[in-house]
Amino acid sequence: MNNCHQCEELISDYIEGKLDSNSRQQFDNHIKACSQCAGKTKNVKVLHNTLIALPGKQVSSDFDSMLRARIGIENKRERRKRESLLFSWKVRVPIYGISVVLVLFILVTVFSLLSNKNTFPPNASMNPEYAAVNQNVFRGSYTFYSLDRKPANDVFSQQQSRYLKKRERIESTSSDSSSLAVYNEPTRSSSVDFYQTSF
Amino acid sequence: MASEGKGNRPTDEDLIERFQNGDLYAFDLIVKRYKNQLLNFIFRFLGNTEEAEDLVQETFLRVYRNRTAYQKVAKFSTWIYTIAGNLAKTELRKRKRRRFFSISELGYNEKDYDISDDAYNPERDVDGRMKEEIIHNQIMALSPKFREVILLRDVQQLSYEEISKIVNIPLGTVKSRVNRGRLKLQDKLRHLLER
Repeated sequence: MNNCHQCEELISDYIEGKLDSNSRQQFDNHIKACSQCAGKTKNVKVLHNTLIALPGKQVSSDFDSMLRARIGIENKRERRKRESLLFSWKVRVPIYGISVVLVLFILVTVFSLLSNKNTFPPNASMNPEYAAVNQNVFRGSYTFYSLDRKPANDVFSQQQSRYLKKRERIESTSSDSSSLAVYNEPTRSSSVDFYQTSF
Repeated sequence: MASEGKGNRPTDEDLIERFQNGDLYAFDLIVKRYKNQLLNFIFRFLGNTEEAEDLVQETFLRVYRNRTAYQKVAKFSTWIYTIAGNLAKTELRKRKRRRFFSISELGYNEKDYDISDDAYNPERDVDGRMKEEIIHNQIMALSPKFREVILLRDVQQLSYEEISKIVNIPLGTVKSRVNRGRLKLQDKLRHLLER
């Protein structure tokens, strides 16, 4: 230990017993010779012990209840935060749900329109007449065409007139009305039925 | 220190782990262990009991709120003292911003202030309470960086390693700061200590 400055730096280690034996010996030798450093060392030791022995303060009697109240507020805040998060989901979920339903509806509609094509006989696409009908179905027109590409209504009237002519002919050539039973007037249950049964 | 488990006594780390798993009783035990220790630390640091108590509550509230942030690799005492120390230093900065200063609250300023020896009359018989008040005032007169380490080392009796982690400075700096703080204090309290 050469000087007081070095001694000052080691005071805490000295009083806490953290100096090795050699350094401790040097320190002891220095404070024996230097009353100022000896005084400081003694004071720091007393101070250290005094600070350790300082009476501790106690929290007030309502500390725990106050803390519980603050934690209660904290819990409420956390709950509100979670609820606000849920609320946003409450809004989002129906929006997402409606979107999904809409998409499904569009898909089903498109699928059903496409599947209408398959209501015709399997070889319909090979038949130029059906092909003509299909074309018009998809164009939004439901007018049906005969083989000679005349509208089905015209075919019906032609057939009806043929029937009437035939009936007149039979009536004129035969008095037996029972033979008329085989000639039934064609009925139009639907355009499609008529169309499909006419050919 | 409250952290060591003796016998069947659970360690602080066990308690915080139980609390992390939802055991609120473990949190109550932590509060019971640390409330007075933290009060003494913050009170000696700020010099005001009401504010100190409020900050101790705030410390526990932060532990409660950030319980999942605690990792078992660190000592719980280090973690909770770091929270308390940061809150106390923030409070000091707030005071500084408010530029609040009066002679009755010496030491709130960063600078060390010498209290006149008039506060201590050698002729008068100094009882324990007065002696404590003088020491407290002189601790408050230290700058915060010395005050903090002195309180952690001599009042709270934490190890230098723990203080190094709490204050976030190297171990050598902690030792040197504690030594210098003690020398400053002994110089100001010479009359009291040499009696």
